[in-house]
Amino acid sequence: MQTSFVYILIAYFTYLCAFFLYLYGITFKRGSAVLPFASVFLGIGLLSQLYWLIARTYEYWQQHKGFLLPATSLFEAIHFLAFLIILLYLIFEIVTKVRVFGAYVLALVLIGFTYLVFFLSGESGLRELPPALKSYWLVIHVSAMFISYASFTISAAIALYYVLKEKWNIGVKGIDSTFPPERIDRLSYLIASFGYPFLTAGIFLGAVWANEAWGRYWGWDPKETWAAIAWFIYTAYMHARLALGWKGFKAAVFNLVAYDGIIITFIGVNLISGSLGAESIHAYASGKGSLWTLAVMFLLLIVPLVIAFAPGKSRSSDASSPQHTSTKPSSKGKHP
Amino acid sequence: MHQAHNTLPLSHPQKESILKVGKEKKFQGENPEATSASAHIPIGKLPLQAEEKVLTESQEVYYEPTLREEAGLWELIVYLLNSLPTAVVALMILAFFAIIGTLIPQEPMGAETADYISKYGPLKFKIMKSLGFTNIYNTVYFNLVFLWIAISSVVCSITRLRRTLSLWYRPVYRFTEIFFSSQKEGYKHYDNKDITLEELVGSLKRAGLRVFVRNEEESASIYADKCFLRKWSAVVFHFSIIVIFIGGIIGKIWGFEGSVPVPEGETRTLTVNLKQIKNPIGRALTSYIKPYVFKLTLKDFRIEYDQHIKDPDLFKDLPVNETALREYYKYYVRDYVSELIGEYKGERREKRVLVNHPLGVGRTLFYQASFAQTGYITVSFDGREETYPVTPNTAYQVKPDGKLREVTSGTATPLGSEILFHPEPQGGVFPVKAGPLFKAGEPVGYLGPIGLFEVVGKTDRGQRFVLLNPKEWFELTLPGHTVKVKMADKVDDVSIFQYKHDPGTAILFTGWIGLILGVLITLYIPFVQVYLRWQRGKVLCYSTVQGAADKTLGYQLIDKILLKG
Repeated sequence: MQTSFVYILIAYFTYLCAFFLYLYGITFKRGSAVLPFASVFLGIGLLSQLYWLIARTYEYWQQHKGFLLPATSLFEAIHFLAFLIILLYLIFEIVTKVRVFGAYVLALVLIGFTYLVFFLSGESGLRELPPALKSYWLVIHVSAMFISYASFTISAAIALYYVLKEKWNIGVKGIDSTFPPERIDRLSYLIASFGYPFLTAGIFLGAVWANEAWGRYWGWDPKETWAAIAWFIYTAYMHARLALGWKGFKAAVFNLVAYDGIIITFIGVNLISGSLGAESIHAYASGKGSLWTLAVMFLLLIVPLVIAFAPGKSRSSDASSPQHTSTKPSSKGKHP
Repeated sequence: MHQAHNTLPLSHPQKESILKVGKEKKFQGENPEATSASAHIPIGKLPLQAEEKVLTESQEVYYEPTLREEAGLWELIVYLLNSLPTAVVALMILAFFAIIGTLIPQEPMGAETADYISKYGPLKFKIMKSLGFTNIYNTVYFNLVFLWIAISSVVCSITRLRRTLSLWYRPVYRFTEIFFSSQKEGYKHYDNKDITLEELVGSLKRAGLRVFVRNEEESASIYADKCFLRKWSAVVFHFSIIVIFIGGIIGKIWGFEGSVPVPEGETRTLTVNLKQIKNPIGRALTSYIKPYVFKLTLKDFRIEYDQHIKDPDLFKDLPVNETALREYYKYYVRDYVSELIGEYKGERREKRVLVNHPLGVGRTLFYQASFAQTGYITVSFDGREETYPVTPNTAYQVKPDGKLREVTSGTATPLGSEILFHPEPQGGVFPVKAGPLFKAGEPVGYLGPIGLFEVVGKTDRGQRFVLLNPKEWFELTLPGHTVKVKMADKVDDVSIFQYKHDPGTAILFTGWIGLILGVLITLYIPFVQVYLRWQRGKVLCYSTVQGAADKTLGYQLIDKILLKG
């Protein structure tokens, strides 16, 4: 059993097929019939990724005689995150019976896979592992962090749909006919609220590990700092929703801003901080971004915000619409 | 037959009439004249502000502190500390400063003045330095924002605790019909002629709700809730933030850290005097603490090496003929192993210290942090052998007198041998490799010492690098002489330990666990609140649900009780 780049290519190809099937499914009138096939393609891609993960784990076992999670290099980290996004999305599909957001969620996974295949293929091999990584904390800390990243990715994809629909009236009938905006908004929040405890726990577990390996639980390393920043923003988002009653457009935009924090934590630190000289000591944080990768990352960061903030037609005046703003139960003005 | 009138968008057989009732009620609630004109709706004796207060206080959401117009500075500060939007802004400011710290190399992480000047130039560096951007996490403004958030957490936590206690002990107020009709989300109206107050209360209790009743004339106000744990968890995770801050502060004041090198086979005494390393406040608070004196003995230190069983990715970039480089990179550090004895005030601990496995003595942890490994080179000059230490990033040349000397670009002589440059590969971490060798986790012997050298010389041997070992001689060219070099068996190992004494860590971690549990319960356990007005023949119900759950849970529960017939 050994890894081969073929499995990565199989996953890439099947996800591409699934993407176009999802797109067809939500765009054309009778397209919903193909959506289950899209899920099947996702499943095949996921199995291919799973095989690669098991094979890489086996290779690590052969090399180190110990269990290691294959998320120790940038290549492995992107691969593992893509795997978790698809896995969580498929679980989400099974639980909610909602198949229509596949294309949105897959868009980012495909960007990740394109980066893997065209820019990082040379780094797909087994690498030397610093002794600090040979720890059970790797599985615990990285899994918690990546589950949160995957949840936030799905949540942000749904929030992006909401923003596109509300602000620019860009939507697809397949979604709009079945999902009122309030449900889309709530779905986005629920998935983010699934990821938030994992992010909180992931940072904590990382601190415990750092305390054990490096002798300090917090060191203001760029990766740590950005994880904390992302946590601050998501904490503010959760408070905005739970304590200030934010819903709808405002909350969706906040979600996208918070997701920028995740993008930078996951890959931006590698590409930006490394290039500026403030390098992180985290395992997969090595490597400076090429112009292309930096450009794509900035587009990922900025485009959703431009979509949200650029002056444009708004489907509903969100600020005044009761279902889209604070649902404060009673306000002084309304009482006799 | 029981009947429910509903203003909610629920599926119900009598949806049309329900919606009509709902609209009518809502209109009445929003229009004072209409309400007072409806003679059949009794208006409560309590002012409606009190009802608003109960709703606000009974729900953790939508809490907004208020500020009186005539408020003074102190009240303003307390208001701001209690205000969620202000806390969010403070968090964003903190995040902004932290971002600067991730873009500019920080002094505490090893960045030096020369690095800044070469990167930014002297003027930019001066500006950055004066603004504190080169050590931002220790600036006054960064710590002030941090302090604001800390105090805000305390104030918010106390407010939250007060409100939660209030809801826990006396949640019952009088709920008039206007209380229900003014609910924007709607309420439910049950026509139920049979149920008595006792039956209703009994049913609520059997359904697992906490029930509070306030009897009135021919009627009663009932408050009931389920899963109050969620309210407590919100208190817990807000207080957890304070616990985390306390843990951090304790560590900052009473803790210390540093690094200590211990050569193999030797003992080092480490003395930490808090008076010498703390700031004035820290000195005042720790003045009673006597210096910590640790004795560290490194019985044995070894660096264990493993080898790739398949060619690593970096080989793709290496020329095929560079066999020395390929051989050198084949081995990598498997682990750093120190057999360390630590002693403190009669307490003696011995442990095999590895990365991720520190030694604890005197409530201080000693971590395997780094090491220094120095190799030696043996020079044979016309049969006469002599050994010299070699350091990384240094060039050497055998001079005509047979001595190996360091050379720089100006001191190399054409009369000497080729120049041997000892590079600084992999960040200078291990220029010489020597230690127990493993293959796929199994011990297979001993590696080296092997030392990598770049041959810069008069003759082109087809490869730039040579890997010296203690067994094979490598011949150098020096006219009239026979010159050979090889690695000597001797290697100097120094293990470097990071030490940390932090009495706040356990407190901080406890706070963090509380935070995680609090977040989990708050997000996933629904808190159901039911407000009921019972009158003979009818029941009004308004319910809210907080947390990830069906928002009609409360109504479903009341439906079960009241529509069972």
